[in-house]
Amino acid sequence: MSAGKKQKRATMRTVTAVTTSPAPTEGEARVHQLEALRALTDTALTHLELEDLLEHLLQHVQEIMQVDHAAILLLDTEHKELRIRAVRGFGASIAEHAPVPLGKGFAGRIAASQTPLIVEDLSTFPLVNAYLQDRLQTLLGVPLLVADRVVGVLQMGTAHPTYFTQEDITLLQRVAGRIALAVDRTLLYAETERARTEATLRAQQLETLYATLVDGLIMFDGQGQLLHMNPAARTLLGLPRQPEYSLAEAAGRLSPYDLRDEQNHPLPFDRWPVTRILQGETLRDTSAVDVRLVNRDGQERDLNISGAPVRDQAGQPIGAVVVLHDVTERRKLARRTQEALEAVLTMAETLVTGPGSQEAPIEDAKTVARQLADLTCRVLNCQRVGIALLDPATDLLKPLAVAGLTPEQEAQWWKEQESQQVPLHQSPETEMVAQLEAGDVIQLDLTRPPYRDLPNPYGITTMLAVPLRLEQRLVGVLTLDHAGEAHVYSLEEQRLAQAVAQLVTMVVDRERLLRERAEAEARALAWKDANQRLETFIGIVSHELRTPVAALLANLQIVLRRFQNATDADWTTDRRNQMLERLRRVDQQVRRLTRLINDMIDLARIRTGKLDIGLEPGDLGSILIDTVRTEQAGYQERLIQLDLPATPVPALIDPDRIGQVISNYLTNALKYSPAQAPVSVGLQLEEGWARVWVRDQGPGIPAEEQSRIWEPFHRVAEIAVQSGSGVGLGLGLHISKTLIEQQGGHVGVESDVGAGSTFWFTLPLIEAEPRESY
Amino acid sequence: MSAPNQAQPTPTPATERLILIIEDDVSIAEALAIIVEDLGYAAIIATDGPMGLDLARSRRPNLILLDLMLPQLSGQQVIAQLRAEHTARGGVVPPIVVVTAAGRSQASAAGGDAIIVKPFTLETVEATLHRLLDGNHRV
Repeated sequence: MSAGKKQKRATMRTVTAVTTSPAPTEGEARVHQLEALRALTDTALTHLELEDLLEHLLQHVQEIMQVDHAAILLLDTEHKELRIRAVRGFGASIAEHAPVPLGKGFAGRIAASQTPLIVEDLSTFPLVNAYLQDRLQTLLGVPLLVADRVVGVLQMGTAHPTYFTQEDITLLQRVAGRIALAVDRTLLYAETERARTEATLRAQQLETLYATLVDGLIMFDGQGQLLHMNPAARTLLGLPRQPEYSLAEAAGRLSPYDLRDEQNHPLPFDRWPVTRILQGETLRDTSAVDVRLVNRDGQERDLNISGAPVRDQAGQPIGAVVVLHDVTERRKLARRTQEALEAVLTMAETLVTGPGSQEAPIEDAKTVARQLADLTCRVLNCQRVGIALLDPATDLLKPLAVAGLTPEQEAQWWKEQESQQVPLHQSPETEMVAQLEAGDVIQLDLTRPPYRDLPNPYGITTMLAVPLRLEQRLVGVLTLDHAGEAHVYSLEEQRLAQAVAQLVTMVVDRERLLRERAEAEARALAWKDANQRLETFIGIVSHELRTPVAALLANLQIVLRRFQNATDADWTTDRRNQMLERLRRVDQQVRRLTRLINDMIDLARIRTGKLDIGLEPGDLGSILIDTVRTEQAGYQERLIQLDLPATPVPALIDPDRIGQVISNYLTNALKYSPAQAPVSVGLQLEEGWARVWVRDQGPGIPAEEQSRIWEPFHRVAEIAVQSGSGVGLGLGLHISKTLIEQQGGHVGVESDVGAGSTFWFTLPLIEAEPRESY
Repeated sequence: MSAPNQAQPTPTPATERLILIIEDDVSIAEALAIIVEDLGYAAIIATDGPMGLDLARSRRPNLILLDLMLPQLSGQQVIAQLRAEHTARGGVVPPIVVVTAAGRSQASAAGGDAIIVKPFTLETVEATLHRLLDGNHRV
């Protein structure tokens, strides 16, 4: 080996001038060298800082070898160059030495060839460091080898030509061996330290990350023993700090948790996500499990649990990572949406199936729309919801309901909406109108043109406009907003808004249909009522007309037959009287018929506004006396009392028509009171008015009937004719009222059931004239 | 009581036959009584429903001429009452002739044995009475 090295050295172009040096005795030198080597080893063992170590090592080398320059260069394998890491003697004052490329210069060649090198005359050798070239004469260098790996070069030199012996080389190689080991060990240590520091840093970063994670993170070992849990996990599980926890305990009866599935059924332990993950299942994305966790305090949380097993190189699970994602709020929202949808659907169902029956009240579309707007406001958590209907006649959007405003704002809102009088199809927002007509939901950003420049009293940022459509036709718009919040409307929100819009449409349309149906029914009912009244009227008229005609005809036929068949001898006084009586009846019936016909003609004239009244000054008292006398003739057995003032009572009147009224009152009184009961008639003066009254002792008229008796054809059902015959057409009072009112007076009745009735009328008096004082 | 009458086709001694006239219009009631008496029957008149029922019970007439539009108790009610009473006692209801100014349908709905519509002729009344009292021995 040494022979080979010598040979190699001989191949160099360098000239080795071997000179003798004044050397100490061999024994002394040996001891010195051994001590130096031991010191070197000690140094190598006691120093872990590289620079420090190299410094000390060189110090020993210089002591051993007695040279002018000693340096250790370490190989930077990455850059394939050697760097001087420690220098003693020449060059020590230089702060930074140029690196020596592998294979170049002195050290570079040593490192590349892994063999020692001696250059006895450096003047012709191409050193990398010009400084050393100028000062050194001879250089000796050996590689620093660990096993067969070069870690650097140890070199030393002298300022004068020196001959290095084989022993020198061998010694230096030994020193180099120790240095190499020390350096390598130190480097390894540094490497390990660096790796450890890095690992610690990484771990700290990870820890920080875990700590700041919103999701809960739990790590288990292969036995289900809890290794780690981040703060979020502790919060979600309701634990104040990291617990001593193992799944083995959780499997027991003392588990502090109750896990439930989405249907709120208890989840058996073997179906717990953690158990499944530890058994090797990976739960992520769609396979992640939604559970409801109820802890010992009864707190409930909805968690989405995902995770995966941690496997060793053989693929065996050695632990698990479990991620807990809190979906309580999301689920709450989803549930609320679901509940709201159900509420909406229930409402819809009620609207469709509910008040279809007659007795149920027709709900006002406005009220229902308002309820829907409120509901939408709550469900979508928005600030305002407005509903407007398109009036097809005017093409204007008419407000129907609004929710989310204070009463004052709402009053203002209605006013504003009513004042907006631009027909929809003349709006400059043609594109928006087209979209609404096509049934699209529109999100408007009011902070952008053209809306930016429009009045925005509520400071709205974004709003949603949903069309109300009926049979492909735009019938209105539902709008909602979140005030100043820059809300982006999710698909879910848009769909819900659309559902509400459809419901509103349905409600409005249904209300229209119900209203139309109610109107139709009312018409039918009115028609039926009119028809019934007409039939009753025809029945009464035919009865009232046929009865006197029947009497007339029967009596006339009897008289006629008597005349046809009788001889003169037959005309006894009895027969004469009998015939006379028949003819009186005929006369009576003709009068009765005349009255009926006159009443009907009067009614026709009242209806057509052609009632003819000729006013002239007259004395009411005289008219009263004449009328009572006439009536008394028809009811000779009845007692009629008359109460009159002593002086004439002048009024501007139609005497025949006043007589007709008094006669009507009187006939009624006689007809509707018992035959033995007297009827009284009176006239009195009251501050410019004359008041005529007729009082009977009949059954009286119920209060609720007292205003209706003045209507044509009206007859009080409970009251039957008490005496005499013929119920009449029920026109008398109606005609009387009209006649009196057309003469400037009033009519009325005072009556109590069982206490008789007093019918009266008043007429204005004529101012007393001098002529009448005679 | 009645004078000889050529229009009277059969001079049946019918004095035992009594006819009750329930009619609120006196002139019609009286005319009917004359017609009935001319035929040789006896006649009694009631001018309202309750009186008619009383006479029907106490005098047991052979036939009743009944107006429908009566005060206090309608003709229909009188018929119903009479039938109910006779059914309870197992007796026989005399023939009832409805004499009315209302339509024929309303009259037949009342449930009488014959109908005479007002205004009527003497011949109609006479023919109806003959048919019910002599042609058909229901009594």
